[in-house]
Amino acid sequence: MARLNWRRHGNLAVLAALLAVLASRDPGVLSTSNITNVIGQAAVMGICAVGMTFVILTGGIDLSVGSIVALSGALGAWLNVHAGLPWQAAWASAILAGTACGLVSGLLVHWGRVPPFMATLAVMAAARGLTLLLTQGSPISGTSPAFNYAGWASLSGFPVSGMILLACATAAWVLLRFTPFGTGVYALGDNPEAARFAGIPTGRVTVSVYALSGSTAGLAGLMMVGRLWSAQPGIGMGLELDVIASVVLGGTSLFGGVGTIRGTLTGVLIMGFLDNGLRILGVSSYLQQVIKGMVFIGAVILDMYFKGAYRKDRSRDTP
Amino acid sequence: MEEPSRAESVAGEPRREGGGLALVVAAERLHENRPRATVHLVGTVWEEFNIRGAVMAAQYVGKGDQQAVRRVVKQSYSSSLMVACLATALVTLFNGAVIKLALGNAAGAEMISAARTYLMITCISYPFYCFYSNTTQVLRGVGEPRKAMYMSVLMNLSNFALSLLFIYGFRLGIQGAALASLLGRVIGTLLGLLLVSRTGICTRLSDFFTFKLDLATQKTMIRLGVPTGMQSFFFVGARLVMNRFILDNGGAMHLSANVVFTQILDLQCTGSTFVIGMAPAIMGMAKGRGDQEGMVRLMVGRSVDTLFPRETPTLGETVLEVEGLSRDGVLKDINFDVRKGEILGFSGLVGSGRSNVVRCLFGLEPFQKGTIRIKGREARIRRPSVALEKGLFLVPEDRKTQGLFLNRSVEDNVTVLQLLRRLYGLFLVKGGLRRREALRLTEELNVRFADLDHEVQSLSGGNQQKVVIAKGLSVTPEILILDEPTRGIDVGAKAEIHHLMNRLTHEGMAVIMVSSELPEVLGMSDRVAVMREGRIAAFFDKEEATSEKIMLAAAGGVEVGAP
Repeated sequence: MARLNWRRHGNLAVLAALLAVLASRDPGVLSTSNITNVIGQAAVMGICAVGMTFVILTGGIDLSVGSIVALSGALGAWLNVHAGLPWQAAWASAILAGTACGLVSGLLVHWGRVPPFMATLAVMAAARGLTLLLTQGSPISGTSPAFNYAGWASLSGFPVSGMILLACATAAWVLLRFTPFGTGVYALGDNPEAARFAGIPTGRVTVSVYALSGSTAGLAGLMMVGRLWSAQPGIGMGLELDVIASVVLGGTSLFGGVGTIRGTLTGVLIMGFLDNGLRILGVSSYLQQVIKGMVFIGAVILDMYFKGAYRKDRSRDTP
Repeated sequence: MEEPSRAESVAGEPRREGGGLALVVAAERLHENRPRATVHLVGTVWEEFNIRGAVMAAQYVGKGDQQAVRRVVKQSYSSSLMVACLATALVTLFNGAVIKLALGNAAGAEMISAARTYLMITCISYPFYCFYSNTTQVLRGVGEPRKAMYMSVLMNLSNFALSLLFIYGFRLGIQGAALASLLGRVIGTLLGLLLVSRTGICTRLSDFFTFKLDLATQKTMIRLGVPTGMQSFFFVGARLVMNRFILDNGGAMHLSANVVFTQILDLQCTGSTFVIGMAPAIMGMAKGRGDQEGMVRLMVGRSVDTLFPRETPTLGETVLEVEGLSRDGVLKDINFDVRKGEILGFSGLVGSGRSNVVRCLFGLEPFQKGTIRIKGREARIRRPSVALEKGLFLVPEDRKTQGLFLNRSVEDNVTVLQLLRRLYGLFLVKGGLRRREALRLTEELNVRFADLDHEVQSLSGGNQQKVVIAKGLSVTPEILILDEPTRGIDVGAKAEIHHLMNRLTHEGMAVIMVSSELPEVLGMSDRVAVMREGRIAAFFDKEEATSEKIMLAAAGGVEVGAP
């Protein structure tokens, strides 16, 4: 009775369909160089999405990732260029800064009982402001090649950023699948009340997932700098939408408790190829935004559908 | 009543496989001149189909969601209707061919015309028949209406084939056989309708056909076994297999299952008389003339006094002492203790603070005053995780919102506490160990599920409750707190949980049970604490506790026997 589980495997079908459509228009889409290119481009968003998966699994949302990407990139670059720190130290501090932003969101959500949407919106604004303060509104360039290595280099044809994404995803998979923390994340997202009854430290889990999302965003920001060879204060605007879209496209429910890292990776690839394909097909960048918005809404509506929100009798499963 | 003893004797026997096959074989005996092999082959194939259908039915039996049930019934009914229309059309068009197929060329004109009539009526009466049979089997099915529908179609087809088989089998006495089956089916259907409309279960027949009955009524109908009892015996072969599976899957269907089972085994293929024969008995029960004890006995296959089978406990040392527990506005000066092997029942009206006491014990509610001592040592329980460490486990009042992760699998739910505490080596969870533990615990508690990986919301209420308890037992608590342990679950699972409580206390666990059900408190507790307005109004020992005394204390009549 193995029925195809659309919730879990539908995203693969979407990816395949997308690739088929794009390849029919331009076979070059499936060339190795283009695929590695897409992976390299999507890696930044993908790393954010891995962290975001944790947050969404607990039933929360993190809107601050785009700003944290900009902040950590700017901070890292500033430390490397103006303070003359070696790249390791600059990286570590920048990731810590990202984690701190996430921690603030988490504490606001847990202690302050602020809805995740509001808390992370505030952090988003604050982090963007801090970035502008730090950079005085102009890009910082001149970071050392070692600092930039992870962002642009590739090893035997495969981008290093893609490897880092895979490493992050593997770590996240292990964390979710095989550790008590992962159990707590799923449990909290599925039923917070039951999680409390099961003795799960719900507060600690909540704060941790936001901190985790912050730190992945911090890492992504540094790779963004490497990719562009400079830190742009305006980078990452609207990135949160892409990130959330790829997580939801990957089958993770916005209501929490359901979702996998594998799905998120698929979602990232879908968003990456969509981006890439639209560009190859010569769709104007304004229209691209419209299409992405529609894809996002489609994914959310599918999520609602799987949740049973459109059943006539709302006797169960409704949010 | 004779049925109970019979039911018991049957339940006690080793399972007899192949009820449907038995019929086929019996049919075969009537005409030795036919090659056995063919009959056996066909019989076995359909048997196989029926078992598949029954397994599916069993998986989905046992949920009480009204909307889902209605949906399933509608789907099932409409599918039956479709099959009936299709079959009628087919038979009308090709009846010659069908009869030729079944009887061969040797059939006489008389036999052919009888078979034709039989086929026609078979098809036309399908909607009625299906409503009683398949729909009721899936009436309590849930969630996946499509599967229920497939199943229904499958069952219909198999029944249709059984009919053909019987025409084939009874070719020597075809007129008599066809007539008997027609009469059996028509009378069964009419009696069923009559019964339902006469007993006040349903005021209007139109309600019955448009499925406007409420869930309670539908449940009553299933319990009474009206649907299953009303069928002509030709179809009982398939039903039998199904009933046996349902017999293993919850209490509600037991009456019909047991009765039909015994009857059919005795009667084999002597005719459809038993349909008519047992109608008065069912009618009597439907009208409420049958005594409750007898009903329960029929339903669960055992006597009612074993429903609360509290054994005499062997009490050990005191494990939990609560002194002066107070919570502003909710609890006032609660004192009690529990000993090893004891069940302490908490009774009282809703809102009297029973649940608050256990929530305080489990660290879910803060309290201002009072000490909790576990094994003589003071325990400061501020969080559930601390309570779990100290060897307490609370089976919460509402399993769906507080006890279970409904979207997670059975395995996840059972092992979640172990995942959080013990089932990991240095850092990582051991997957194989986890599955073994889940299997061990579910087996120990006799949880019935199709697959460890299925979502826990697909289980019946009783099995969900057992999953919650299994989760608790996974960390071997010393004090088990059960808040309304048997709310909303069927009689069979209830009894199982009571037996489990006996076993656990026998093994030295202390149990605190909060229950609104007075018979349960009286039957299962060794001592009863009655609460009123946040205080313990009275303690009763098992011997002195009566429902009057408890109600009096709970309602605030006289204060008796304060400790």
